[in-house]
Amino acid sequence: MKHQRIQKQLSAYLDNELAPAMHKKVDDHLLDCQECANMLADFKQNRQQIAELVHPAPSMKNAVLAMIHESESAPKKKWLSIFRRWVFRPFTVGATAFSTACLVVAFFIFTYSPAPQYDELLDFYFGVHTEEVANNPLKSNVATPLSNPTTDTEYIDEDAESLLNLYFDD
Amino acid sequence: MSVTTLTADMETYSDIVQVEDFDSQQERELILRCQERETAAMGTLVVQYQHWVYNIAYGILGHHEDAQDIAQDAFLSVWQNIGQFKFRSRFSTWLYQIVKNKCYNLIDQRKRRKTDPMEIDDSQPWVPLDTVTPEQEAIRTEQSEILHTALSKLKDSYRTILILRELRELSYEEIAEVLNCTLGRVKSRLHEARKALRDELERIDW
Repeated sequence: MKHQRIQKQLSAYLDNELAPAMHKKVDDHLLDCQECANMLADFKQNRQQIAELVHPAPSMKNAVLAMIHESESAPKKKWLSIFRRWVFRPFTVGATAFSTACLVVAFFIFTYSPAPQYDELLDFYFGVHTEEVANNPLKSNVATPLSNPTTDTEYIDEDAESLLNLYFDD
Repeated sequence: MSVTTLTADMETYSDIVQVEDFDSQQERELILRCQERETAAMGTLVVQYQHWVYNIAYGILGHHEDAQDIAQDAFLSVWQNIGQFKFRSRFSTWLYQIVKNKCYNLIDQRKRRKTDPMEIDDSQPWVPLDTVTPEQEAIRTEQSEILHTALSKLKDSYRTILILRELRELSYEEIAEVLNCTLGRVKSRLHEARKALRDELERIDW
Protein backbone atom coordinates (compact mmCIF):
# COMPACT_ATOMS: atom_id res chain seq x y z
CA MET A 1 0.00 0.00 0.00
CA LYS A 2 2.77 2.38 1.00
CA HIS A 3 4.71 1.37 -2.11
CA GLN A 4 1.78 2.30 -4.39
CA ARG A 5 1.29 5.62 -2.62
CA ILE A 6 4.97 6.51 -2.91
CA GLN A 7 5.09 5.41 -6.55
CA LYS A 8 2.36 7.92 -7.43
CA GLN A 9 4.58 10.69 -6.08
CA LEU A 10 7.58 9.83 -8.28
CA SER A 11 6.65 12.22 -11.07
CA ALA A 12 6.25 15.17 -8.71
CA TYR A 13 9.47 14.07 -6.96
CA LEU A 14 11.29 14.26 -10.28
CA ASP A 15 9.99 17.81 -10.83
CA ASN A 16 10.82 18.90 -7.27
CA GLU A 17 7.17 19.63 -6.64
CA LEU A 18 6.83 17.69 -3.37
CA ALA A 19 6.71 19.10 0.14
CA PRO A 20 10.02 18.51 2.02
CA ALA A 21 8.52 15.84 4.30
CA MET A 22 7.13 13.84 1.39
CA HIS A 23 10.34 14.35 -0.57
CA LYS A 24 12.27 12.77 2.31
CA LYS A 25 9.83 9.85 2.44
CA VAL A 26 10.34 9.17 -1.27
CA ASP A 27 14.12 9.45 -0.80
CA ASP A 28 13.99 6.81 1.93
CA HIS A 29 11.70 4.55 -0.09
CA LEU A 30 13.95 4.72 -3.15
CA LEU A 31 16.83 3.28 -1.14
CA ASP A 32 14.86 0.07 -0.53
CA CYS A 33 12.64 -0.23 -3.62
CA GLN A 34 14.33 -1.18 -6.87
CA GLU A 35 11.07 -1.05 -8.84
CA CYS A 36 10.48 2.60 -7.95
CA ALA A 37 14.14 3.45 -8.56
CA ASN A 38 13.91 1.94 -12.05
CA MET A 39 10.71 3.82 -12.78
CA LEU A 40 12.29 7.09 -11.70
CA ALA A 41 15.34 6.42 -13.87
CA ASP A 42 13.08 5.75 -16.88
CA PHE A 43 11.11 8.94 -16.21
CA LYS A 44 14.37 10.90 -16.12
CA GLN A 45 15.63 9.36 -19.34
CA ASN A 46 12.36 9.95 -21.21
CA ARG A 47 12.21 13.51 -19.99
CA GLN A 48 15.70 14.19 -21.24
CA GLN A 49 14.95 12.62 -24.61
CA ILE A 50 11.79 14.64 -25.13
CA ALA A 51 13.51 17.84 -24.03
CA GLU A 52 16.31 17.25 -26.53
CA LEU A 53 13.95 16.81 -29.42
CA VAL A 54 12.58 19.86 -31.07
CA HIS A 55 11.40 20.41 -34.57
CA PRO A 56 12.84 23.51 -36.25
CA ALA A 57 9.81 25.65 -36.94
CA PRO A 58 9.29 27.13 -40.39
CA SER A 59 9.20 30.91 -40.50
CA MET A 60 5.58 31.97 -40.43
CA LYS A 61 5.82 35.71 -39.89
CA ASN A 62 4.96 36.61 -43.49
CA ALA A 63 2.15 34.07 -43.69
CA VAL A 64 0.60 35.32 -40.44
CA LEU A 65 0.89 38.96 -41.48
CA ALA A 66 -0.73 38.13 -44.82
CA MET A 67 -3.60 36.40 -42.98
CA ILE A 68 -3.94 39.44 -40.74
CA HIS A 69 -4.09 41.82 -43.71
CA GLU A 70 -6.65 39.59 -45.39
CA SER A 71 -8.85 39.46 -42.29
CA GLU A 72 -8.50 43.23 -41.76
CA SER A 73 -9.38 44.06 -45.35
CA ALA A 74 -12.55 42.00 -45.27
CA PRO A 75 -14.09 42.60 -41.84
CA LYS A 76 -17.63 42.52 -43.25
CA LYS A 77 -17.33 38.82 -43.86
CA LYS A 78 -17.53 38.15 -40.15
CA TRP A 79 -21.31 37.69 -40.22
CA LEU A 80 -20.78 35.13 -42.98
CA SER A 81 -18.63 32.96 -40.76
CA ILE A 82 -21.28 33.08 -38.03
CA PHE A 83 -23.95 32.15 -40.58
CA ARG A 84 -21.74 29.38 -41.93
CA ARG A 85 -21.24 28.04 -38.42
CA TRP A 86 -25.00 27.79 -37.97
CA VAL A 87 -25.52 26.20 -41.36
CA PHE A 88 -22.98 23.51 -40.57
CA ARG A 89 -24.73 22.67 -37.34
CA PRO A 90 -28.06 21.41 -38.66
CA PHE A 91 -29.01 19.60 -35.46
CA THR A 92 -28.61 22.75 -33.36
CA VAL A 93 -30.51 24.84 -35.87
CA GLY A 94 -33.27 22.21 -36.20
CA ALA A 95 -33.66 21.80 -32.45
CA THR A 96 -33.76 25.58 -31.88
CA ALA A 97 -36.26 26.13 -34.70
CA PHE A 98 -38.50 23.32 -33.43
CA SER A 99 -38.43 24.62 -29.83
CA THR A 100 -39.21 28.16 -30.99
CA ALA A 101 -42.10 26.96 -33.18
CA CYS A 102 -43.54 24.94 -30.26
CA LEU A 103 -43.36 27.98 -27.97
CA VAL A 104 -45.07 30.22 -30.54
CA VAL A 105 -47.87 27.71 -31.19
CA ALA A 106 -48.39 27.17 -27.45
CA PHE A 107 -48.54 30.93 -26.89
CA PHE A 108 -51.27 31.38 -29.54
CA ILE A 109 -53.26 28.38 -28.32
CA PHE A 110 -53.35 29.59 -24.73
CA THR A 111 -53.90 33.26 -25.60
CA TYR A 112 -56.56 32.98 -28.25
CA SER A 113 -58.35 29.78 -27.28
CA PRO A 114 -62.13 30.24 -27.84
CA ALA A 115 -64.81 29.79 -25.17
CA PRO A 116 -65.83 26.14 -24.75
CA GLN A 117 -68.36 25.06 -27.35
CA TYR A 118 -70.67 22.20 -26.51
CA ASP A 119 -71.57 20.44 -29.71
CA GLU A 120 -73.18 17.50 -27.98
CA LEU A 121 -76.06 17.81 -25.56
CA LEU A 122 -74.44 15.35 -23.17
CA ASP A 123 -71.26 17.48 -23.07
CA PHE A 124 -73.35 20.47 -22.13
CA TYR A 125 -75.03 18.57 -19.29
CA PHE A 126 -71.73 17.34 -17.93
CA GLY A 127 -70.18 20.80 -18.15
CA VAL A 128 -73.01 22.56 -16.40
CA HIS A 129 -73.39 19.83 -13.82
CA THR A 130 -69.69 19.90 -12.98
CA GLU A 131 -69.75 23.67 -12.63
CA GLU A 132 -72.85 23.59 -10.47
CA VAL A 133 -71.43 20.93 -8.17
CA ALA A 134 -68.09 22.68 -7.93
CA ASN A 135 -69.68 25.98 -6.89
CA ASN A 136 -72.29 24.62 -4.54
CA PRO A 137 -70.88 23.98 -1.07
CA LEU A 138 -73.75 21.66 -0.26
CA LYS A 139 -73.19 19.42 -3.29
CA SER A 140 -69.43 19.57 -3.45
CA ASN A 141 -67.03 17.75 -1.15
CA VAL A 142 -64.51 20.55 -1.67
CA ALA A 143 -64.86 23.53 0.65
CA THR A 144 -65.38 26.69 -1.40
CA PRO A 145 -66.30 30.17 -0.15
CA LEU A 146 -69.98 31.07 -0.46
CA SER A 147 -69.22 34.58 -1.57
CA ASN A 148 -67.62 35.51 -4.84
CA PRO A 149 -69.04 32.76 -7.07
CA THR A 150 -66.87 32.16 -10.06
CA THR A 151 -69.47 30.77 -12.45
CA ASP A 152 -68.88 32.17 -15.88
CA THR A 153 -72.24 32.55 -17.63
CA GLU A 154 -71.16 34.71 -20.52
CA TYR A 155 -71.36 31.92 -23.04
CA ILE A 156 -74.85 30.69 -22.00
CA ASP A 157 -77.22 31.90 -24.69
CA GLU A 158 -81.01 31.59 -24.73
CA ASP A 159 -81.11 28.00 -25.98
CA ALA A 160 -78.58 27.00 -23.41
CA GLU A 161 -80.56 28.72 -20.68
CA SER A 162 -83.70 26.83 -21.61
CA LEU A 163 -81.78 23.57 -21.53
CA LEU A 164 -80.39 24.58 -18.15
CA ASN A 165 -83.86 25.24 -16.81
CA LEU A 166 -85.05 21.93 -18.20
CA TYR A 167 -82.18 20.13 -16.48
CA PHE A 168 -82.83 21.69 -13.09
CA ASP A 169 -86.66 21.41 -13.45
CA ASP A 170 -87.24 25.16 -13.05
CA MET B 1 16.95 16.21 -44.29
CA SER B 2 19.84 17.80 -46.16
CA VAL B 3 22.78 19.49 -44.40
CA THR B 4 21.86 22.85 -45.94
CA THR B 5 18.28 22.65 -44.68
CA LEU B 6 19.47 21.56 -41.26
CA THR B 7 21.96 24.45 -41.07
CA ALA B 8 19.28 26.89 -42.15
CA ASP B 9 16.94 25.47 -39.54
CA MET B 10 19.61 25.75 -36.87
CA GLU B 11 20.08 29.42 -37.78
CA THR B 12 16.36 29.96 -37.56
CA TYR B 13 16.38 28.22 -34.21
CA SER B 14 19.25 30.32 -32.87
CA ASP B 15 17.29 33.44 -33.83
CA ILE B 16 14.09 32.21 -32.32
CA VAL B 17 15.52 30.71 -29.15
CA GLN B 18 15.99 34.25 -27.91
CA VAL B 19 12.46 33.91 -26.57
CA GLU B 20 14.10 32.73 -23.35
CA ASP B 21 15.87 36.07 -23.00
CA PHE B 22 12.82 38.00 -24.04
CA ASP B 23 12.25 40.61 -21.37
CA SER B 24 8.76 40.65 -19.88
CA GLN B 25 8.70 44.45 -20.12
CA GLN B 26 9.52 44.28 -23.83
CA GLU B 27 6.82 41.67 -24.25
CA ARG B 28 4.30 43.89 -22.44
CA GLU B 29 5.16 46.78 -24.73
CA LEU B 30 4.76 44.58 -27.79
CA ILE B 31 1.38 43.36 -26.61
CA LEU B 32 0.24 46.93 -25.93
CA ARG B 33 1.34 47.90 -29.43
CA CYS B 34 -0.57 44.91 -30.83
CA GLN B 35 -3.63 46.08 -28.91
CA GLU B 36 -3.23 49.38 -30.74
CA ARG B 37 -3.41 47.31 -33.96
CA GLU B 38 0.25 47.68 -34.94
CA THR B 39 1.05 44.77 -37.25
CA ALA B 40 4.83 45.21 -36.99
CA ALA B 41 4.63 44.41 -33.27
CA MET B 42 2.58 41.32 -34.09
CA GLY B 43 5.30 40.26 -36.53
CA THR B 44 7.87 40.44 -33.73
CA LEU B 45 5.64 38.41 -31.42
CA VAL B 46 5.24 35.78 -34.13
CA VAL B 47 9.02 35.51 -34.56
CA GLN B 48 9.49 35.23 -30.82
CA TYR B 49 6.93 32.51 -30.26
CA GLN B 50 6.57 30.63 -33.56
CA HIS B 51 9.11 28.01 -32.56
CA TRP B 52 7.35 26.94 -29.37
CA VAL B 53 3.86 27.34 -30.73
CA TYR B 54 4.76 25.15 -33.67
CA ASN B 55 6.46 22.54 -31.48
CA ILE B 56 3.56 22.30 -29.07
CA ALA B 57 1.14 21.91 -31.98
CA TYR B 58 3.45 19.37 -33.60
CA GLY B 59 3.79 17.49 -30.33
CA ILE B 60 0.01 17.24 -29.96
CA LEU B 61 -0.90 16.62 -33.61
CA GLY B 62 2.19 14.79 -34.86
CA HIS B 63 1.90 16.24 -38.34
CA HIS B 64 4.04 18.98 -39.86
CA GLU B 65 1.45 20.70 -42.05
CA ASP B 66 -1.30 20.52 -39.45
CA ALA B 67 1.05 21.98 -36.85
CA GLN B 68 2.01 24.82 -39.19
CA ASP B 69 -1.64 25.58 -40.02
CA ILE B 70 -2.64 25.50 -36.36
CA ALA B 71 0.29 27.73 -35.37
CA GLN B 72 -0.64 30.32 -38.00
CA ASP B 73 -4.29 30.11 -37.07
CA ALA B 74 -3.38 30.56 -33.40
CA PHE B 75 -1.42 33.71 -34.17
CA LEU B 76 -4.37 35.06 -36.18
CA SER B 77 -6.62 34.38 -33.17
CA VAL B 78 -4.12 36.18 -30.96
CA TRP B 79 -4.32 39.21 -33.25
CA GLN B 80 -8.12 39.14 -33.32
CA ASN B 81 -8.48 38.72 -29.55
CA ILE B 82 -5.44 40.56 -28.21
CA GLY B 83 -7.74 43.30 -26.95
CA GLN B 84 -9.18 40.82 -24.43
CA PHE B 85 -5.76 40.04 -22.95
CA LYS B 86 -5.63 41.92 -19.63
CA PHE B 87 -2.17 40.79 -18.36
CA ARG B 88 -3.78 38.67 -15.65
CA SER B 89 -1.68 35.70 -16.74
CA ARG B 90 1.51 35.30 -18.71
CA PHE B 91 1.13 35.91 -22.42
CA SER B 92 2.78 32.56 -23.19
CA THR B 93 0.20 30.73 -21.05
CA TRP B 94 -2.64 32.48 -22.87
CA LEU B 95 -1.04 31.68 -26.22
CA TYR B 96 -0.47 28.01 -25.40
CA GLN B 97 -4.07 27.76 -24.26
CA ILE B 98 -5.20 29.00 -27.69
CA VAL B 99 -2.88 26.51 -29.41
CA LYS B 100 -4.09 23.63 -27.26
CA ASN B 101 -7.74 24.46 -27.92
CA LYS B 102 -7.15 24.72 -31.66
CA CYS B 103 -5.35 21.37 -31.68
CA TYR B 104 -8.18 19.71 -29.74
CA ASN B 105 -10.75 21.25 -32.09
CA LEU B 106 -8.90 19.81 -35.08
CA ILE B 107 -8.69 16.38 -33.43
CA ASP B 108 -12.42 16.52 -32.62
CA GLN B 109 -13.25 17.54 -36.19
CA ARG B 110 -11.28 14.60 -37.51
CA LYS B 111 -12.95 12.22 -35.10
CA ARG B 112 -16.37 13.49 -36.22
CA ARG B 113 -15.44 13.08 -39.86
CA LYS B 114 -13.92 9.69 -39.02
CA THR B 115 -10.65 10.47 -40.75
CA ASP B 116 -7.32 9.15 -39.56
CA PRO B 117 -6.75 11.06 -36.32
CA MET B 118 -3.01 10.70 -36.04
CA GLU B 119 -0.94 10.19 -39.10
CA ILE B 120 2.73 10.30 -38.20
CA ASP B 121 4.69 12.53 -40.50
CA ASP B 122 7.94 10.63 -41.00
CA SER B 123 9.22 13.09 -43.57
CA GLN B 124 10.18 15.55 -40.84
CA PRO B 125 11.00 13.67 -37.64
CA TRP B 126 11.99 15.64 -34.59
CA VAL B 127 15.70 16.27 -34.58
CA PRO B 128 18.17 16.96 -31.78
CA LEU B 129 19.36 20.54 -31.58
CA ASP B 130 23.06 20.22 -30.89
CA THR B 131 25.52 18.87 -33.44
CA VAL B 132 26.81 15.34 -32.77
CA THR B 133 28.89 12.67 -34.51
CA PRO B 134 27.19 10.68 -37.30
CA GLU B 135 26.95 7.56 -35.10
CA GLN B 136 25.39 9.47 -32.25
CA GLU B 137 23.08 11.18 -34.68
CA ALA B 138 21.96 7.84 -36.12
CA ILE B 139 21.19 6.51 -32.63
CA ARG B 140 19.41 9.69 -31.68
CA THR B 141 17.37 9.68 -34.86
CA GLU B 142 16.29 6.12 -34.19
CA GLN B 143 15.48 6.97 -30.58
CA SER B 144 13.55 10.04 -31.64
CA GLU B 145 11.49 8.01 -34.08
CA ILE B 146 10.67 5.44 -31.40
CA LEU B 147 9.83 8.20 -28.96
CA HIS B 148 7.66 9.97 -31.49
CA THR B 149 5.79 6.74 -32.30
CA ALA B 150 5.24 6.10 -28.58
CA LEU B 151 4.04 9.68 -28.05
CA SER B 152 1.62 9.46 -30.95
CA LYS B 153 0.03 6.36 -29.41
CA LEU B 154 -0.71 8.10 -26.10
CA LYS B 155 -4.05 9.67 -25.21
CA ASP B 156 -4.35 13.29 -26.36
CA SER B 157 -4.41 14.58 -22.79
CA TYR B 158 -1.27 12.62 -21.86
CA ARG B 159 0.62 13.77 -24.94
CA THR B 160 -0.35 17.40 -24.34
CA ILE B 161 0.76 17.46 -20.72
CA LEU B 162 4.05 15.74 -21.56
CA ILE B 163 4.77 18.22 -24.35
CA LEU B 164 3.99 21.20 -22.12
CA ARG B 165 6.13 19.91 -19.27
CA GLU B 166 9.06 18.13 -20.91
CA LEU B 167 9.44 20.15 -24.09
CA ARG B 168 8.47 23.63 -22.96
CA GLU B 169 9.23 23.07 -19.25
CA LEU B 170 6.15 24.90 -18.06
CA SER B 171 5.63 24.92 -14.30
CA TYR B 172 2.75 22.96 -12.73
CA GLU B 173 0.89 26.24 -12.16
CA GLU B 174 1.24 27.25 -15.82
CA ILE B 175 0.15 23.80 -17.01
CA ALA B 176 -2.88 24.01 -14.72
CA GLU B 177 -3.72 27.37 -16.27
CA VAL B 178 -3.27 26.14 -19.85
CA LEU B 179 -5.25 22.95 -19.28
CA ASN B 180 -7.76 24.70 -17.03
CA CYS B 181 -7.50 22.17 -14.20
CA THR B 182 -6.25 21.96 -10.62
CA LEU B 183 -2.65 21.50 -9.50
CA GLY B 184 -3.52 18.10 -8.06
CA ARG B 185 -4.94 17.02 -11.40
CA VAL B 186 -1.77 18.19 -13.19
CA LYS B 187 0.34 16.20 -10.75
CA SER B 188 -1.64 12.98 -11.12
CA ARG B 189 -2.12 13.29 -14.89
CA LEU B 190 1.56 13.95 -15.45
CA HIS B 191 2.43 10.84 -13.48
CA GLU B 192 -0.07 8.77 -15.47
CA ALA B 193 1.28 10.23 -18.73
CA ARG B 194 4.90 9.43 -17.86
CA LYS B 195 3.91 5.94 -16.83
CA ALA B 196 1.92 5.45 -20.05
CA LEU B 197 4.87 6.65 -22.14
CA ARG B 198 7.21 4.30 -20.29
CA ASP B 199 4.85 1.36 -20.90
CA GLU B 200 4.47 2.30 -24.56
CA LEU B 201 8.24 2.50 -25.05
CA GLU B 202 8.68 -0.90 -23.38
CA ARG B 203 6.04 -2.35 -25.69
CA ILE B 204 7.79 -0.94 -28.77
CA ASP B 205 11.19 -2.24 -27.59
CA TRP B 206 9.72 -5.72 -27.26
